[in-house]
Amino acid sequence: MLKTAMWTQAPKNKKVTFRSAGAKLKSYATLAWTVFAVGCSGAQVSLDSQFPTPLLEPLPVHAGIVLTKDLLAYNHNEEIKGSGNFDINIGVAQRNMFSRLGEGLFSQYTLSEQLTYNENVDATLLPEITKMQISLPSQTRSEYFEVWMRYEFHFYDNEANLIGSWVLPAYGKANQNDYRGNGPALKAAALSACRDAMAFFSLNFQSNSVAQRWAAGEKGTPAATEPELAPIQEDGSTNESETTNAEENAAEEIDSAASSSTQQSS
Amino acid sequence: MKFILTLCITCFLCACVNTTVQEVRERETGIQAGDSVVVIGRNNRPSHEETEIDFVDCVAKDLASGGNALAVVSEQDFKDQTFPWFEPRTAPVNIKELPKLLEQRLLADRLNELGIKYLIWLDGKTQRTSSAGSLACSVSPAGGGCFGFLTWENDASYEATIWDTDDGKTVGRISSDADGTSYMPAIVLPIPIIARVQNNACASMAKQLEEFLVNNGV
Repeated sequence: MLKTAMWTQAPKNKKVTFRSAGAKLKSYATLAWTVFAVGCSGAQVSLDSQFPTPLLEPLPVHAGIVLTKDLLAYNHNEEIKGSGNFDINIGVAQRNMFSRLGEGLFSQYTLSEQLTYNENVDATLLPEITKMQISLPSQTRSEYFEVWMRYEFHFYDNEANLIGSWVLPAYGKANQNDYRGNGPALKAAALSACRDAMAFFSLNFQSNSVAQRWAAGEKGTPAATEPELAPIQEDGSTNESETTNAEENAAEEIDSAASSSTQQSS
Repeated sequence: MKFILTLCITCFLCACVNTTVQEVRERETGIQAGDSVVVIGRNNRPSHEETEIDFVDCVAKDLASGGNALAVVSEQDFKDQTFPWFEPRTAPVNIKELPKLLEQRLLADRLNELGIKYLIWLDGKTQRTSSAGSLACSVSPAGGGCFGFLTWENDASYEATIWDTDDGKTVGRISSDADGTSYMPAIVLPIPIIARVQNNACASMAKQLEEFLVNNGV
């Protein structure tokens, strides 16, 4: 066995001793163990991706979009037993996401970092990530890395009075076989969740009653703080049948996933 | 060393793959100058199954090369250009949804800009259907090596559904099924004899798609 190893590795005209072969094997074994250990020790992901602009008719609204420091610094950190520490910097994606949404949905938009009275805009939108959860293939016995996110969009008039809020769950997944390692797969799942949030927001914006009132220039009151719930129809369904069901399913999944494992978000 | 290399290369050639391609044509097809196609993997919600990205890329690449090369828009580029209409949550699930989708003026204009004549939806995946044997490897300061025998069978089953964006109708379906058994004997060194099941399914699918789209069923 050793002879074969030496025969395949020995350069011509160079004498290979048992000691040097043993040292080489030791270093290879150490390297292999290190690669294995690194592969099992979680992942650090930064979502520094570019997002597309929604292909929609823009509303004739000059929207102020407030990206708070908390949102821009949102980082999800989760220790998963037996799999390591997973850290996703999702805040870094938010500026590009909401710039693209602003371009696609509104005739004009202005980004700011604080919610204040602003006479230059028609109304103000303040997004917030309220929950995030991940799952690994080893946890779900599937081939997929999954990411759930819950956004809450707060709609304000231009005097910073709240009109209402809209809770929006998003979901993304990525097949582990399509990627090499935890990091790229988790990044793809998180990216997919962000795109899902953008798609959901874009396509349902005009049918959401709070958003409609906001876009129509309604003035808010400080008391209007409850998130909007879709009204229940006579048949028991809601008026946003497909998307609302998906929304509820995703929300339930976030809640159930959140209760089954520990997480630390900052 | 040369002997082992030769043996490995020969063994690679030995693993056989059976491929079956079937075609159902519903309407005439044809590609004009300036027309392009896009190959998209099915990943609609709430289904948990997704077609492998590698397979979708492989079919797109094969369609874009060769004698009858077609103009192919990459899946990611297409999804970005038509965002948010072809995301997992929003993509049309069946052909009945396409005409309504094309009523979106901006989307219809964008498809025209891209010259998209046909949308090719790929569905399916490659799965390991059986495996047997065992192989053990050991490494120690005194040496290392493997001993044993592994065998496994992969089955690839894919279907392409082709939609015409001009009239919003299905023009046909092509299925490509492949299966093959891979072996890995190991006496000190493991020698993989891999059946390239997915690659064969991809090549067959791309070839049939090309003929289907270009030859107008004649």
